[in-house]
Amino acid sequence: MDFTGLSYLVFLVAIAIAYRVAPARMRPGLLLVSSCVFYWVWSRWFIVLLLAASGTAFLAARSLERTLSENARRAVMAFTVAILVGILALFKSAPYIRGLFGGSFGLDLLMPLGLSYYTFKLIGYVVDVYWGKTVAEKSFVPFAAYVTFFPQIVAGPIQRSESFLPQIVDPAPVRWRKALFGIQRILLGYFKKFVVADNLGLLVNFIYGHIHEAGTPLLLGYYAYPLQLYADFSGLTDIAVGSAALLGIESPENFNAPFSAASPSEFWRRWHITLTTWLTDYVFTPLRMATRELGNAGLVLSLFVNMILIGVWHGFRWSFALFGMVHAVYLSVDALTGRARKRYYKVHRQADRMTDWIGPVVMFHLAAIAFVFFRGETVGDIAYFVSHLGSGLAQTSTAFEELMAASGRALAVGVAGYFVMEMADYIRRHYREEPLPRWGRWSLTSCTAAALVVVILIMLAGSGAHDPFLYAIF
Amino acid sequence: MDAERIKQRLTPIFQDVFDDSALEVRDDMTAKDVEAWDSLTHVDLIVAVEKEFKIKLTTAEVRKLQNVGDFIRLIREKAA
Repeated sequence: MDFTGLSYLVFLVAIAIAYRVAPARMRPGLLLVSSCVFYWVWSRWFIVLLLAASGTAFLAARSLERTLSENARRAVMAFTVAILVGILALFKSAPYIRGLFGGSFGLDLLMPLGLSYYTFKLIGYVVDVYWGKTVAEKSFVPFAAYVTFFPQIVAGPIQRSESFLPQIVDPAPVRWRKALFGIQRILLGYFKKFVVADNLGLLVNFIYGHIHEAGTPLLLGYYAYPLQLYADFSGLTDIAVGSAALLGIESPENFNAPFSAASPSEFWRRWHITLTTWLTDYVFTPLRMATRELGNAGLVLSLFVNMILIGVWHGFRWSFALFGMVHAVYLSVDALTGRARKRYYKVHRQADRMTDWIGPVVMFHLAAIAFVFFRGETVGDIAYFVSHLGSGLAQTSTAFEELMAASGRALAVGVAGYFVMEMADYIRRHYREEPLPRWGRWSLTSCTAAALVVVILIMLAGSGAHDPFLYAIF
Repeated sequence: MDAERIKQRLTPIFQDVFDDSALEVRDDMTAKDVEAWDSLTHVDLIVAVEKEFKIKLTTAEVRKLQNVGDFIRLIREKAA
């Protein structure tokens, strides 16, 4: 049941209606059953792992609230976190373990759907209860409904229990406005996926598949991939946020105009926000607290550990670790020179104003270099890509010309769609007064009209490729 | 030590860490109210406060803080 399939939409609408009609006390149970059905369709028996992991975290959190000695509490927390990290590491490393045994190693361990996301939800919850930041949930059904919540299980956002649970245990009155917001967000997600990401994907897949062939303009892939990834992942997030809104549940946002960031630290406050804030709370801050006596060395160490973890969270691959390291270098330079730069700009006002313009341009190019590490599969590919960025521009290969002849229009639509998407986002963020008249903003008419436009656009401008969402595999 | 006295001693620390000489410390202030207050400067702030008040804070104590008022209460408890 893919997020983009008709069966998902039918499922979602049916659950949304049932959920809103059901008496409040039955809603957590209804949500849990729906999420289990959704999970079963995708990932079959891995549902047992999901529920067992949830049960373990639930019981551990309850025991942390009993009168235990500090040492016993720490042991319970550490043991539970170790189990959850162990499960995650086992499945992430499975392809390599199989490889070591020449592919003949018994079990064919597929990746359970959403494992990276739900283990992070559970670890955060147990640690928060241990720290006393949140109270342990008393009843298993709402807790399991939180962990298994189907709009968020595929690819986040990683919502915290303290913001999710009150919304289903003590739900706010049903608002039609919120449901309409949900419909609009889902439509926006489809637009980003089919019109922007999949069309740009034609170019990106070709270029990354022909890295070593002379005449393939790598520079195009360098520019197109960040746009494709952003459209794809933020589109997937839009569908998740929109689906939750249809059920009356507010989700955290994962993106906030990431390519307008003027520095590496700002970029990470705008890109995959729920993953970054999770790591900041449970990895970076504890590590930084532990290394605070070491001064700048402790800071750089904490940044490297944190960013390498962000990298390998996507998969145990050298290229992902390198992606994290590249960002760690950016962030370290940013942090270590921050004060000096601020002092300089205080005196040189003109230069300060210029950075408002130049900053995002430079940051986009730095982020795009790091994304080559993210997309490239082997270290050899990445090294070749980065060192030959200007190659193939003067003389293109026949294969590349064939791609342009066959898909030139699709690529143009992808690029144009990207600008539409960015402009709409800009307007939404900068104008408190909506540019549309009231009836055009929230009414059923406008949603229907928008739906028609999106469907027509997808039929006319979709690539027809129907690639899976890039972030649904992590 | 009373809360007002702690606040007085906190003001120059906040101004130095966040590099803003106009910063006034308020009980309801949070990281959202100060532009330079991010996860990096947050630990700088903790280190500076530990040094000023000669106390040691734990990650759990720091994580539970909701605003500056909580922080002042924590310092008061620890420095007592």
